Amino acid sequence: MARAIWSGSISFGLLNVPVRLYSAVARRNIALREIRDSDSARIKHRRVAEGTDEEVPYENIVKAYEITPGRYVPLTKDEMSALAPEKTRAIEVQDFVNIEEIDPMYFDSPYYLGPADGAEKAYSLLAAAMEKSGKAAIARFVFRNKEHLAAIRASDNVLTLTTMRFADEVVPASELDDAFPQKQGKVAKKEQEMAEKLIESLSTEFDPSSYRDEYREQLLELIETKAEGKEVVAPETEEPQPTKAPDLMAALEESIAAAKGPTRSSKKAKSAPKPSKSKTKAKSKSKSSGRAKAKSK
Amino acid sequence: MAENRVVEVDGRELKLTNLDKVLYPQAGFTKGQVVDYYANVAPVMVPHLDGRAVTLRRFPEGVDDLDAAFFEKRCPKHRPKWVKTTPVQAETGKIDFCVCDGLPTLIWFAQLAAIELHPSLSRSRAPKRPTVLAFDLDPGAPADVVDCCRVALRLREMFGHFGVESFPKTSGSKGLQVYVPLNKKDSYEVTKPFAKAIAQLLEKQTPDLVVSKMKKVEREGKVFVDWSQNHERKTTIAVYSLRAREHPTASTPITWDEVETAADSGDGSTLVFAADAVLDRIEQHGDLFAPVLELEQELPEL
Repeated sequence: MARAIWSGSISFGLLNVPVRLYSAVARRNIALREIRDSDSARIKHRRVAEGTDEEVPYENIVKAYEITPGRYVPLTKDEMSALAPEKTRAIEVQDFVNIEEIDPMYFDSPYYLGPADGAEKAYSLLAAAMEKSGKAAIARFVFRNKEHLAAIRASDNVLTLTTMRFADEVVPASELDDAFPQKQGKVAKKEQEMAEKLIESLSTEFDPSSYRDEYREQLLELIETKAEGKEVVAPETEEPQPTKAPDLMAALEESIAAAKGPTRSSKKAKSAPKPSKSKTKAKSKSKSSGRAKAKSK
Repeated sequence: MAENRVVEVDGRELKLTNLDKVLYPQAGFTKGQVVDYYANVAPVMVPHLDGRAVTLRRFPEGVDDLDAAFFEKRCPKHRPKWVKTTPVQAETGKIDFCVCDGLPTLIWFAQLAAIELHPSLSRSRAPKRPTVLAFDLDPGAPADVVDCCRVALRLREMFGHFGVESFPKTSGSKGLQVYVPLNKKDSYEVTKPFAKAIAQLLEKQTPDLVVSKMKKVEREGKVFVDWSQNHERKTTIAVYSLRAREHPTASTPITWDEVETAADSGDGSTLVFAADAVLDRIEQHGDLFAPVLELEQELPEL
């Protein structure tokens, strides 16, 4: 049986429908552990005080707001929980709106609402009525110590709930002043027609299953191959490794060997052109400002 | 010396407190003596600090009380209004560091029991362009300063092949530092990999003497050539800064002859200089580190 993550009831007017909330998202992230490369020891994270190696026990960690750099207002757990929204079990419907009016930017995480035991009839009735109206219910409810805004929709006798962002959480385009062109640059009619045609030719019905997380699939494949003990050759497209230093060292070694030459006096001629240039510059300068000065004092 | 008094330094008024407080218990060296040392060393020291963000290491309860000691990057809020600061981009945002542009600020640092001064290798007006390439030679026991001298001489020789001069100073603690003056346009993006390559080459050529990796366990009996300080956010102990050791020893410029002598004789004790000895040497030699500020050099292109 599916595990509900919350239970309560949808309420509006005199109607009260007990429901259970289920997550509608299957977390498909591949969990990776951190280990030490040499011996596979698991990496442990410790909480230490900044600038020390001293571990801070959980009970001594408090949250704080930094007013100005270095000045904090600590907030105890008690103070925080006193402020937390009152735990109610109600999903309070505020309004019904046309779904198309909601900009997808406001949608956050999707959930399913299922009927609580004995509430099946009321649930079906509500779902059917909402589906017929084609409207979404905008509701408030408290979940995980936070007040949420949500949109409830109905399709195929199933109610879904999608948490929503509050208006002030969504950044209006106008706040990103220089991100967009101030004035619409003049678009050549022909060019626009071409773009429109291209859009037309790529238009199709939306089928979510036709888009796959290819990165995840490749990562899984890599893990499987490695688990089977097969040699894995990193593809060449991988980011270049920062191997510059050893090369630089080799270049340095070569350069010094060349500078050394058979005798000390010939090093100038044998070294690379650039070093010998800096040599003369450095030497001539140092004679006037370098040791001579220090000795003369 | 009175406990507390207000003094005027170069036209700046400063309140000095707790001057009788012993900051070096083993040596009986007081805060007043720390102030006195910095006042005397200022003429040669300030030019090396001027224009640079300085991290203060303060020892309010003396050098033995490490619990009370702390590094201070942010220039204290209660600073006199004439103390200059410079904003530095740190990981956590901008921090205003103190800048020492003269004797009064240096005395104020001493008043804060900021025994150790750790400046940036670059000036704040060109934060990405270090004025020097620096190597911190840190001996892992039983290696000592004599081993550092041997490594330092190798460094001088290496740079000598490119016609580039370098200058040694004691760290004031256990090791030595070698500075390669640049004062031109090389950025950390050039100096850091270059320093690393040098360290790696030294390690390759003399694996029994040199280690270029940070890991403590590998350092035993070897000299760790720390190349990583050639970084925008790193600092190195200032030349002439006192150190928090048993005795008030300072990071002291030395001559290559002195380095050679120590390497040949195996006696590193001649390379330890306490406050008074440092002042005597300045009297005698002037600022041996002056060329580090003046000499313009470029690293060879590899």
